[in-house]
Amino acid sequence: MMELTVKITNAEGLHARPARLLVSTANQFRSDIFAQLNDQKVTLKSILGVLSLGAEQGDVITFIANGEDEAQAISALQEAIAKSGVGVVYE
Amino acid sequence: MNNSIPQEFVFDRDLVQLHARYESKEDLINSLGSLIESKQYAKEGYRESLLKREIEYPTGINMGTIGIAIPHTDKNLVNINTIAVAVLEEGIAFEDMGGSVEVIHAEIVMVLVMKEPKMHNSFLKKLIVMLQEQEVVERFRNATDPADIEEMLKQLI
Repeated sequence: MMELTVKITNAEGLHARPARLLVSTANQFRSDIFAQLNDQKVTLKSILGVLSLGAEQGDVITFIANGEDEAQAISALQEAIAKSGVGVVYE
Repeated sequence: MNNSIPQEFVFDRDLVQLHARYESKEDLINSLGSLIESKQYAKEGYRESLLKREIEYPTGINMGTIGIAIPHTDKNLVNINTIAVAVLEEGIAFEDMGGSVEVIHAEIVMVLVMKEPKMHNSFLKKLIVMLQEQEVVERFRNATDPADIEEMLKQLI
């Protein structure tokens, strides 16, 4: 299992454009991939899950990948987050 | 500016269309977008921006029991927070917000006209939860009076 913690910095929160990018990135991998905000954990492979988080600026989301290609998935998510400018990754 | 002041939201029953019929998503967005502009909930250029944004970043969502779409665009074009709703007699095709090739046959379209991201995100989150109840979906489908829609949506603000 691998994790990636991201603070949402975009003023609009996790809105349509980055949500779409994250969901389509997650769907390129076989691993189970989740997004967790506080005690709510949803699959990142569905836009419904991501929208039901309602993540806003300042929220800290943990992405969790579990499976054979988890390392590649986390690395692709990290890239997608940087590209979309939606947040910053905590080292 | 004090952020604790509740954000103004106006529900306008004139922006609710029940048993509506449209040929395409472009038709629907043009119609609702013009209405929103003409009633000055948004600035000139809103309709055009809404249409362009839908093509770039589609908003169709498969809710399982029903397809919906939530067109929205640049918050800087919004004057007053509101929502326009079309409940369609027959679903129209939208592209998937999640980026898949699936075509979403949206039966409920809600244009989210909101200038505060916090209101937008929180409304959307609650809407997604609410529409997972089949009973609510049926209430939308069978609504005959915009007041029915108002009653359901106002709880989400």
